[in-house]
Amino acid sequence: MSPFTYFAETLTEDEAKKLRKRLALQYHPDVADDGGATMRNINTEFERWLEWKLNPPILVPAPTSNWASPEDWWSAIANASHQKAATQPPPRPTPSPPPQAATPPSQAATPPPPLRRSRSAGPSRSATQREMDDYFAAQNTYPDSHGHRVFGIVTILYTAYLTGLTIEALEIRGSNPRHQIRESGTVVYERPATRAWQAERRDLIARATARNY
Amino acid sequence: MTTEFTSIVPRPGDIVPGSVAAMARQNGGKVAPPEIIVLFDHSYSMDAKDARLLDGRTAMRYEAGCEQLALLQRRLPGKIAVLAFSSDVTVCPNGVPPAPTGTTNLYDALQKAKQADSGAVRFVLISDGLPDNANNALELARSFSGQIDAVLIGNHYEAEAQMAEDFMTALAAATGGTFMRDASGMRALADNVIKLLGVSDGTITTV
Repeated sequence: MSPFTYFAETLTEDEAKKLRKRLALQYHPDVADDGGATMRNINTEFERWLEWKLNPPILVPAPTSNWASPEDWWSAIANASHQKAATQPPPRPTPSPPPQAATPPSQAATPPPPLRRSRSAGPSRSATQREMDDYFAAQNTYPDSHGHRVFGIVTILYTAYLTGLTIEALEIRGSNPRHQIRESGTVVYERPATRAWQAERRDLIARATARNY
Repeated sequence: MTTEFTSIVPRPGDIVPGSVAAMARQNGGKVAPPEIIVLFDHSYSMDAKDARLLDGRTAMRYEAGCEQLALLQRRLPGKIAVLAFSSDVTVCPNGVPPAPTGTTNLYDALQKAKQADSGAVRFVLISDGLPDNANNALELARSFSGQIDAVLIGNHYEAEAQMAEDFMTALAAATGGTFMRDASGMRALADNVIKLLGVSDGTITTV
């Protein structure tokens, strides 16, 4: 006996969605005179079906005979329980708390850090990390038709390979757009990028070329 | 017009809605893994007539326990398996323990429950007193990977109550479970067990 009335267990997700649409045309409260009761049942069952499809329950055969002993039932219950445990992911190891350093009373009295980092406090660690990753990836990218090496949010506009020194002019987009000049990877000049990006790019390349920063 | 509510106590042999057997019927003859295994004490002391049914009538602890177990299974359908124990252990797929008889052989009940101790199931012990072999039971409980919560029911003399409470607390603590004393005369046992399990919208937190 199927636990579902409208949706068969063998349907795929797409088929079930199509069936639900078809049923909606038939049982929509505007069409059917049941105050929307059938449609509510269909919607509830569809959600139950979807949940069932995404997380199929583990079911083991119950003792079929009417005269099945409680022991038969118990083996079915134990079997189902072990099957469930086998399909569960292993528990995540709980991180051990960091060793408690003795803190002076004045430090202990400081207020806890804010839960949300404010935007003015600078880019979050992940944004900085992304910039670095994109910068290193852009260095390994072939230049495009404009001679720019682009990866993610970083564009290397200009590169000069001097003896023992590499000078790069960068444009960084994202939440904090800015222009940079780097000497061997170290930022030596930085300013925010505005809408006048074409003029700013030209100026940045001129500065990097003349080493005027 | 007011309708008077009368408790219907399930009898041995009835199939309680939401029990393993009832759900197997609905699931086309398949058993879903239970999330809780209730170890229900049906020893002779459950014959004591000091409990209350939902409609307020005084009844045997056993009767009140059956009513509350039925309520629990109805609220968490298919998630509860019942294992009744006295001198012997009885599996109750229909959700109703047998009539009160014998002593409290918790050790055998735990041995039986251990067969289903996969780590994905929680155990709830509902008992009204000290078991026959407390130390062995405690020792066995320590080897469980799932947690055992203990619910003490019934009225006791002071000394006996303390001993029972100590044992149940130790048993729960041995597996990281929780001890609870049901002070409602079993009238709110199902509610208390649900609170103990931390069930919210039908989701049980397994260990």
